Amino acid sequence: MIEQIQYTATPKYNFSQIINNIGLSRKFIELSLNSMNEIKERFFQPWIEFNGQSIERSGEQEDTVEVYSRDAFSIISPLEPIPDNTPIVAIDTSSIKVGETESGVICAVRGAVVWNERRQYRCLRIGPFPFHITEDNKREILRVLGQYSPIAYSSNASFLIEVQSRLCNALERWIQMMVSRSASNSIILWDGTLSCRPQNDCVSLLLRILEDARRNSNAVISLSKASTVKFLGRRITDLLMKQREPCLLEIDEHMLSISSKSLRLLGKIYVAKLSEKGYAFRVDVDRGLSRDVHMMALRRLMGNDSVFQGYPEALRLAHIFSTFTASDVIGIQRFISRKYGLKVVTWPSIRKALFGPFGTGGAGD
Amino acid sequence: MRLYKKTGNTIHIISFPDEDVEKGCYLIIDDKRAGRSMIVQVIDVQFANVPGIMEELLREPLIDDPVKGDDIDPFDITSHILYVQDARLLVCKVHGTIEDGGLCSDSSWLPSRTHSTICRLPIGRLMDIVNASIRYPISIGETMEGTPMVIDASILDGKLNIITGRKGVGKSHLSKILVLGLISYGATVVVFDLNGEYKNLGLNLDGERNEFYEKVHVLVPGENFKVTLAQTGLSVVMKILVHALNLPGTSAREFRHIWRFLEERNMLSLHEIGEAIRRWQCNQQVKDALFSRYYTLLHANFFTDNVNESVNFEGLLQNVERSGGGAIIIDLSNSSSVDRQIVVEYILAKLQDLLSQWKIRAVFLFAEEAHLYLRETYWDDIVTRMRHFGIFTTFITNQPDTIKESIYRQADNIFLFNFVNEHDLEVISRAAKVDAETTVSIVRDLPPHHCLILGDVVRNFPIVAKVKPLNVRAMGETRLFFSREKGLEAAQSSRP
Repeated sequence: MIEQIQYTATPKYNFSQIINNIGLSRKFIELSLNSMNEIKERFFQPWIEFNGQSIERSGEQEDTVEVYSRDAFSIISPLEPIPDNTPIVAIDTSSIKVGETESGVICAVRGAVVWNERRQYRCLRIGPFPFHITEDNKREILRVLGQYSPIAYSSNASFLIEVQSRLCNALERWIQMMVSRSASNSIILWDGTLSCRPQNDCVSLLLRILEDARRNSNAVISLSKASTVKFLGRRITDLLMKQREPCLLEIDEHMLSISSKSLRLLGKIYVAKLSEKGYAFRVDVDRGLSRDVHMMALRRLMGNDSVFQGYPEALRLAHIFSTFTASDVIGIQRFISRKYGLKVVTWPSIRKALFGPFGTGGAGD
Repeated sequence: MRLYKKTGNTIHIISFPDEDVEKGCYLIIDDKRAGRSMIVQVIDVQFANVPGIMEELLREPLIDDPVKGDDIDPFDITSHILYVQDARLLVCKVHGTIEDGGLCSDSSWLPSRTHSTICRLPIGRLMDIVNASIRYPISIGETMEGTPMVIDASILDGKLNIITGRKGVGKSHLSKILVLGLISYGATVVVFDLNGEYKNLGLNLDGERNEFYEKVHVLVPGENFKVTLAQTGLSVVMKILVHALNLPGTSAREFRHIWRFLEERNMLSLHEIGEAIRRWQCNQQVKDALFSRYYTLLHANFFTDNVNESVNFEGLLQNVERSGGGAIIIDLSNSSSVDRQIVVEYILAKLQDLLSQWKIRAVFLFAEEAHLYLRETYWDDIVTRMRHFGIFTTFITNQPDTIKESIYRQADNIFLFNFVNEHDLEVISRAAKVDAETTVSIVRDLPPHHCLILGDVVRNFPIVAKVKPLNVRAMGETRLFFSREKGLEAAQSSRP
């Protein structure tokens, strides 16, 4: 019998804890307002090419982990689910460029939190927050974000699009922190990995968030959609392709290459196939928890969330609800052009003027 | 509203949810730089093709109850997103251009997308623009804006009109409004009343006599409407025999001889015609044919030899005209198919005779479901020859395909009520007064008691009107079997 997913909401959870904790939220709003106030009565070219990939998302560049092993990999199989009604909370954010002004770009950032308790889903969307990023205000933006995106403050973000990515990152970290503090006895799902480069200051922030989560008996699991674990130059997820049952491949620290060891890993790395007919993903589980707790957390995830194509439903929903659709973008463009009295213009494209239909839109520079 | 694109005489306009626009209404696209304005009519309202709408729709049901999902949206951007998602595309047809204060039919120019302003054009203002002065107003209801919808009775003069729509949408209702409107201005109206629903036009809903009581004359063939052969005349009787009763040519010739024989001897009566046929020296088959038609005429009970029992139809028409107009209702509800044809042949032939001799001025003829009693050759006659004599016809039908395409093309005014059947829509789309797309698109979605008016009465600007209620006894309501049971139940429940 095919399992039917029930997307009904639970009255148990309320979002007041998150909503009330408006530390960054207020900063975010102020930052957004301050940046947007600079563009009043200016010219604005909406970003309107919606075909395919032209809606830009900030990149999800995750550090690749190289693995080598002389011994055979140990695969834990089958991985048995534990259906014990543990709540699952998933977090995702996204950002998008919505237009250009004479001095910079306008982007919007949004986050989503999805709760699953007893297979009833509930969603909280935070944003969208529009920002006008210019060469003049980017340092100020990075300074304000400092606490929640130390990497942003320390980095010398040379491209405006990088600032957009940092804004998204800061919102994500803030939401992760709020959830870690407000949820208890839950499994918290993040998008991406639990690693960062030691030269960045993000480690302490991440450690703080993970500590908060552990204090409330939560387990943080991070799932990476892109397979970033490589073995002999190939994706390690391919090793689990032929496994019929849900299984787990454990990667010990001694298996990591020297270059990979330069990363600060805050999670224990696994390659997990969470359903029979699904993909395998790199999964990082909070290193502060014991191996047994890792196993239990993954089995609870399987037992309490629907797993579609090997990917947890709650995280899939969080992604869906944070992502901007084309009509979202048009709505945001309408908001900013009305609110800030922007004059909509279309600046001539040098590329199109020079190359006509052969202009590649900058992708092939 | 923003101008989106123009293809031929079709204009697409983007409209937002807070703009009050509906199918059938008029818009004016004012291009001040060009010094011209374009008048367009909305013929369809569609969802605008907003990119990403599919993703939005797929996303919403994932969390079953939207109330249980929360948004922290300090800038209230979501309302703008929803506003965009509900944007509409108005498909409009160009109906003319205003330039230098005058109206012309030019639809070839392109208004500016950026400099044009678009706003709703109320019907009242539209009629002002086309200088539609109304000398003899007939109020038929209200426009989409709720303003009175008035047509000029004088524009129905000399015109061919069609009222059509599916059952129960208010065709007869509008027809009664027109009949009463015309007689209030002194016109003579003859109604072929197939269902006996016009006979109480002189009574209010509560049964009291109204201002038209004296002007409504109900004639029931075989009861208070009988005629003598002398009043009828040979030509009319021959038409009845040949067209209504299909008498073959040879037999018709013999009948003519019999009629003249009796007329010369001053013996013209039903009884004598029967006797003459019996005695007449002719082929037995001819005799049989004459006898069968004779008995049909006899059993129709429409002809009489008693002058006192007969109605002087000519005199009645002249009286009506002299007394300031009125309606002669021919109640055909209890007549058989053949009897109906006999009566209609008689009336049309008589009208033609009287009009050609200038004994009466003109007659407005209202024909309900005319295909049930009008012979094939009369249709073209009515729209061409009879019109010149002064018979101005209004056809009322719920089967649009019973009216020939040539009649639709020549109709001066068409009142279209709702149709949903594709075949019916295809038939009415042949009306020459407007393009097929406009007709089909608007008529398909008309609610009951609303009609699309095409033609001269609206200066060829198709207008949607809601037909007003009428304070007269309609009698057009269908008799229902279960209404009695419902009545009994209601009576029982009201008992203590």
